[in-house]
Amino acid sequence: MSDLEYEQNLWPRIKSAFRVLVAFTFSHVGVCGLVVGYIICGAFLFQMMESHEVEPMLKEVRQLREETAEKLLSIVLKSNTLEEEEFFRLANVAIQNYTYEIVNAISDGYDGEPKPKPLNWTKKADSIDRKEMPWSFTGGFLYSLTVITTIGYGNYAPKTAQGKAMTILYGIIGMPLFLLYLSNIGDILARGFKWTFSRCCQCNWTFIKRRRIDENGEVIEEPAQEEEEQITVPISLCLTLMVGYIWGGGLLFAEWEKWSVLDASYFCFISLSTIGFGDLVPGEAVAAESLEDAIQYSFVFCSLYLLLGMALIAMCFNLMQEEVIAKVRVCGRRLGCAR
Amino acid sequence: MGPNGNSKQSKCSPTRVKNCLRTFLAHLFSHIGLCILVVGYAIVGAAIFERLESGYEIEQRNNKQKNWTSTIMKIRDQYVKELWNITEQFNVLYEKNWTTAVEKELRRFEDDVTSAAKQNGYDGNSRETDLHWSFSGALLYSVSIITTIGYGNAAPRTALGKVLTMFYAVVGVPLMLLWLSNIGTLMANTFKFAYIHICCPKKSARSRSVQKRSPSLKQEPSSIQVKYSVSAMTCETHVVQQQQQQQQQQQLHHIQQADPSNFHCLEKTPRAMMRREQRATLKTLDPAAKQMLRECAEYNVNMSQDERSRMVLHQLHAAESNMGTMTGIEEELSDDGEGMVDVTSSIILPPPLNIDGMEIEDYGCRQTLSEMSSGIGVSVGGSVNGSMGRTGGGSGSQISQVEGTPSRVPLLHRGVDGGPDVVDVETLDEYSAGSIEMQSNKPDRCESPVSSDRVPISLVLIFVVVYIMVGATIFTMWEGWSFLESAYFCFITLSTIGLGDYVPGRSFKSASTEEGHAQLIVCCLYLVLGLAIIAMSFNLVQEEVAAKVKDIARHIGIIKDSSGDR
Repeated sequence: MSDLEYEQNLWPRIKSAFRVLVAFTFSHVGVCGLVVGYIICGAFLFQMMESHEVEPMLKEVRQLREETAEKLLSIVLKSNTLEEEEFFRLANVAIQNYTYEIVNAISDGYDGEPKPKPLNWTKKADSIDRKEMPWSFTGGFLYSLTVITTIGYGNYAPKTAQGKAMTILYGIIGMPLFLLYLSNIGDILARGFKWTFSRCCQCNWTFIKRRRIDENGEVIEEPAQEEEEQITVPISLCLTLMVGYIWGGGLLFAEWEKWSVLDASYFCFISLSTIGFGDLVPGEAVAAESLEDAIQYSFVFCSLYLLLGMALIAMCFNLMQEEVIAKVRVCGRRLGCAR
Repeated sequence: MGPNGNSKQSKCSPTRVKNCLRTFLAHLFSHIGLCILVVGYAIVGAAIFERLESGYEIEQRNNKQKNWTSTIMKIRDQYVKELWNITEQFNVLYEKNWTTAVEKELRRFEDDVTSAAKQNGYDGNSRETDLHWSFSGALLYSVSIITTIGYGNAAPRTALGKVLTMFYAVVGVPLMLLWLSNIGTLMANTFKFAYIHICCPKKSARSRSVQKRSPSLKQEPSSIQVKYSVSAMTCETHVVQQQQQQQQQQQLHHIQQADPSNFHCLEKTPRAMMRREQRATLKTLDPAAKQMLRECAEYNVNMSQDERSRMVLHQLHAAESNMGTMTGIEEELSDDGEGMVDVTSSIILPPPLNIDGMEIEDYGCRQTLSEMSSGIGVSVGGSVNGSMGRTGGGSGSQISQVEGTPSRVPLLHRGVDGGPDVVDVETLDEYSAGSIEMQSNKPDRCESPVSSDRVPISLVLIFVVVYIMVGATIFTMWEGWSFLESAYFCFITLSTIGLGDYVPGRSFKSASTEEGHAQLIVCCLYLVLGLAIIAMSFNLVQEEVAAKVKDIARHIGIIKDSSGDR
């Protein structure tokens, strides 16, 4: 093969390879990876954008502290002979103001000085400190996840203007992507489930089928596929599956997070229905103890649970819709609403 | 109503009651009824939750205040004492040392306050004197549940409240979806109508004249699946050969010219097509489709004496002779559902035809014919996230004949000259909007004349953006947020993410005044209307988006062209 021919063959091959790649990306497995990758990117992005916010707040609080110290100093220096009571009174006033300001800062998101307290923001400190700071990677991950699934807990929320703008952009792209993922995965799961279900049913039916052939004496060709496709998974099974998943998740979270079972199931339900109040969020209880590993596991497990749970629900909808529509139609017809 | 009961209606009271009930239910699921139902549901929920939670909240709030005050006082006293000790320690006052020591103490004080705030759940809003669980707050809460926004600023704390929330959501969310789809379709139609008549009056006139030219293939598309167009085409070719109907040939021509790429649908796996096989009901076929079916069945019978085709013919005849109402046949069919499905699936069609150089698989055609006789419906989507009622049903005018349940959106792609509606492929394995809303059976939806235009995507997007901007300005005025923050809030709300960091009502003058109530109610309305607009835009836009995505995909080469150039 001459060089020219080789080159001519190379380009179409590249193109076809590229096509294969893109096709794969939008195929079933690819979409999963795409979604996860997107969330990870989002986590990094938001972490970058929001971490800066803490610094100015820290500076503010430190300044406040210095001012209060000066105030106290002036109190002490005011009179040579300082009575305890007088000091208490005056100091109380100063501290009261200080408290008020701190509480305002807390409501704006201030979280106390990160410990161990680094006065220099070197990279070395980052590895430890970042996890303690509000917008850790896991926090960003959970936040991105809640944005694209539209759950939206709200325990993390962007404070900077660019964070907000970024959220809007991220959501606009991420939500359709997630829908794509759901429809894809729901489809696969539904097919797999139906197949499994029909196999289980067929074990019971092959017996009957043989008898039919014997009686008629003809060879009635009944391809297995036809039977399989006509089987609709009963609604009760789908519902049981969903309820079971929610309840199971409830048990697990109750175990991990030290919530009551009711609280945990309520959390699972609220999350999976994408309502997402955010009053209960996994990882917060553990954060107080600042066990880094535990936080990580908790977030990772929660994310996995949510992703899988929503896929399951998509699958159940997929399986149920046929029956539900048929039943509604029958009801409607009986009642005479439909023509 | 049914043909039988007319004479006896006045006499027989149970029948009359049943009829009343029927009309009542029919109206109930009509537009107004649904609106009222949703509003009523929200209000009832608000009342219930207010009852449950406000008492608890008041109690908690008092406790919290007390706890907080006492905690803070304790901490303060402790630290002031500490400061005193430090001062005493320094017999000679060196400012610097003293200041450093004091600052250290203050820092520890800060930490204690922060952790106390966290433990207490005190987020520093001492200025918040208004209850979360006033009636308007509870209304916002119930709306946020059924729309799945879920702000979280007010969340149930009692166990009963939590359980009730779950049940409320289970009923309310589908109800909301139903309503959204309803309103979405209605608004989409209105929008299209307005668009046609305001923006493109010429085209609308032209489309109407085209309609008159082609009565056989009805302009109003019955809900027909993808394959219909193709099977119609293949059947038609032999029909055309046999009958030489000028119009149909013209239609065929239109179909071919409009978008030959429509035919690649045939390459879809038989599995996928079989997946969507539903109980066929003759009822859903419009006359043109029945004609096709008859022709094909006749062909089959002539060629191969197929029993099943004979059955089909028989049923068709019976159907026609049955006064137009198909209920009788349908009962038969639905009982005999299995049989019907078998029949249609094994009708043998004429050998593969070459149309414009394209091969049409016989097998594919067989499948398509079977599917043709199943109606099409739009069904509840596979997206759990369908909170926005991603409305499907391209033209919206197939509502009147919603039956059957493919799991994907049927898309209607209008031909260039306003010709027959060629159904485009919905390879929604690639396309995300697989979720469609459930259309309730509405009697006799008289649709606006179907236009050849689609509303351009840009127009719809602009509309949505304008709505968000309007909302942003309103909230900027009322809440004192910046414009960006208000726009961000509108986006977060309308996408049903609902973070809850910004919630309307926090800085209302006072939630207990008339004005405050009114403001909160206006917020709820904005919310709900915004969701409806989003549903409408999905409805309008999805055909185009699907078509464009398919074009791109085909261009890139994900989807193989049926014309075989690869």
